Amino acid sequence: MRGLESIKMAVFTIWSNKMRTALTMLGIIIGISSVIALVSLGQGSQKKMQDDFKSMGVNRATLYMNYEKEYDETDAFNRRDVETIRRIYGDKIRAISVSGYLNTKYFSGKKEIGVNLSAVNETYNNIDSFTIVSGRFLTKSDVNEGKPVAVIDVKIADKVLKTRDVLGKRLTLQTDDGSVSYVIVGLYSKPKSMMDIGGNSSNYSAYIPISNLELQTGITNYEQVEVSFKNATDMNGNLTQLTNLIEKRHNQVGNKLYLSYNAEREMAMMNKITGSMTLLVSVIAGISLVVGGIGIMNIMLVSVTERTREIGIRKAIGATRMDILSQFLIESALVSSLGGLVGIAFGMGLAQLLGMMIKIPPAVSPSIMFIAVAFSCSLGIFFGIYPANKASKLDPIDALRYE
Amino acid sequence: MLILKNIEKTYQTGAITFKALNGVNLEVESGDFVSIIGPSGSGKSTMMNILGCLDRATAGTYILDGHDVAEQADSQLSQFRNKKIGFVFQSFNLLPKLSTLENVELPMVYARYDGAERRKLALKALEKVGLKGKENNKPTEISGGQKQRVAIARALAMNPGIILADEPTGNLDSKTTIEIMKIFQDLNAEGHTIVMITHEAEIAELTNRVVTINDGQITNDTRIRPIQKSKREWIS
Repeated sequence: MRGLESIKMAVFTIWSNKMRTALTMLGIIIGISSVIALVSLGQGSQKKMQDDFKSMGVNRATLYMNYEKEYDETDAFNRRDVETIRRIYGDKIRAISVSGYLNTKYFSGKKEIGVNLSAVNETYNNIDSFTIVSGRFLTKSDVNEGKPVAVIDVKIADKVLKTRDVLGKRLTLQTDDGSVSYVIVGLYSKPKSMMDIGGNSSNYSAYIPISNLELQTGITNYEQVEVSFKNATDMNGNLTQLTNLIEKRHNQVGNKLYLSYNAEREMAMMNKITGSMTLLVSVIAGISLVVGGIGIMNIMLVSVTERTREIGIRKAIGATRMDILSQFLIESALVSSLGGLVGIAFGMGLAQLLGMMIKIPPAVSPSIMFIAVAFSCSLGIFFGIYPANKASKLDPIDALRYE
Repeated sequence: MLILKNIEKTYQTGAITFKALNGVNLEVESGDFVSIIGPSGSGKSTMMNILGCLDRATAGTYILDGHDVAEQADSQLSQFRNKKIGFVFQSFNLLPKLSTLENVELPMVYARYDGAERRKLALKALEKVGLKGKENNKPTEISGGQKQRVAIARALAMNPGIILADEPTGNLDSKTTIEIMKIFQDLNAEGHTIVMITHEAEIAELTNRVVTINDGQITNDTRIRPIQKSKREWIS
């Protein structure tokens, strides 16, 4: 029989057994739809993470102290390290800043609100991605003179101060040692990111000049240096050069006291995690698909028995073994492919639904859909071989006699 | 065109060996209308299965249209059943979910005829057996006589040289039996070679030659009428 004729015949048989076909397909539908849903959610969250990393800046990196080692306070990063790096690697670096932190409290009546101060230099707005909503960021003279100025999160203005008309106003904050007062010079806003897991998200943030922190606290060494490179090529090589330089400056060569991380590394780790999660899910879904395939085989065996007489008739009027074999194979391949298609549709719907609930837009790639259809089709062929072979081997006389 | 020489067929069921055919010799000439008559268990159905290439003989030689059947591969036997032989069964053996037209088209599907050609030939065959206008009915919607006509149309579809009919009137009333026999006689007159199994003597009387089989052997072979001069050439 020609291919098209066989397919027509299979479609006819499937159509005349709608209920049974639907039930047979169920296993495949469930398997494929869960694979599609989970893989597209996995890829969706991966994509979202990548976007977050991008918005955080792929050119961005952080140097930090190896907390597992013991070191003196003077071994930590200082502003002169940063200046030296800027001088030597100025062609590669767009911006670099040490960052220090100071936790303060703001009292609004009796309510206590936490405000985290980040002490940075004037280049920091080229490192982190935020937008100045009004006013300005810190300037070189702010940093050089240690001026008590602050660039505050627009949320402080909106939710705490209840007005955006705050430029030039004073913001008085309580520290452990007393109180500090800053003139607000700018408002910034930062997109919310999945990566904002560090830091208390219920707290508010503001930037102050690093020199001001030094004046307030006497601190001159910091745990962390943030850097933004001009381009993202050979980040690891560049970071090694930077840490080597700092090791030399602090006489710590080979002590692994200074470490670094960047978005690329973080991303690779995240990809590894989502990759292994996807693999795990695929294995589980694979098991359900095999169960679905066995279901198809089971129904095909029943169908062969039921249609023994039909097979006998077809053989008597000239169907060859190959004709019968291909008829049943095409039927099971068609049933499972159809199940695969329905599964894709369900899976996409399920992914959208779950994605809305967990706020991750699913990413459905055409390749996974193609793989799903191809896989379910080959599943049908694989599990159809045994029943089809059984049908093709039936003795026409016995088959014709079968009641 | 059909030659059986010392055909034997043995069935083995456990320890019991049963000889269904025990040295059958028969020659059927082109254009003949032969009836094979015998009681149940005489071996006539076994003989029919061998003649129809549905089964192979345990021993002996069967020459179909110049081909030694024993030497043919299974796929070749499928080809013979498709092109050289048309079957008509007692229980019609139509596919219940297909229309009469589709049933008649089926052998041509396996012969890889294209759709238009199949339809044309199937309609012609249905018209020939007097079923014009019933082509879209399902077998469940027509009478027994009409079902057998569809089966005959299907047997005719590929224009085979031989029509093998296994008790074609066994499930039909006497009036319909006469009608069906008339169709067979007409087909024979057109040049189709027909071999028909029956256990009714009066049906056998309507053919050209009556072969009696008993206990797996031919016990009588009587010619009633001469082979009609055919207008039709042997088509294989």
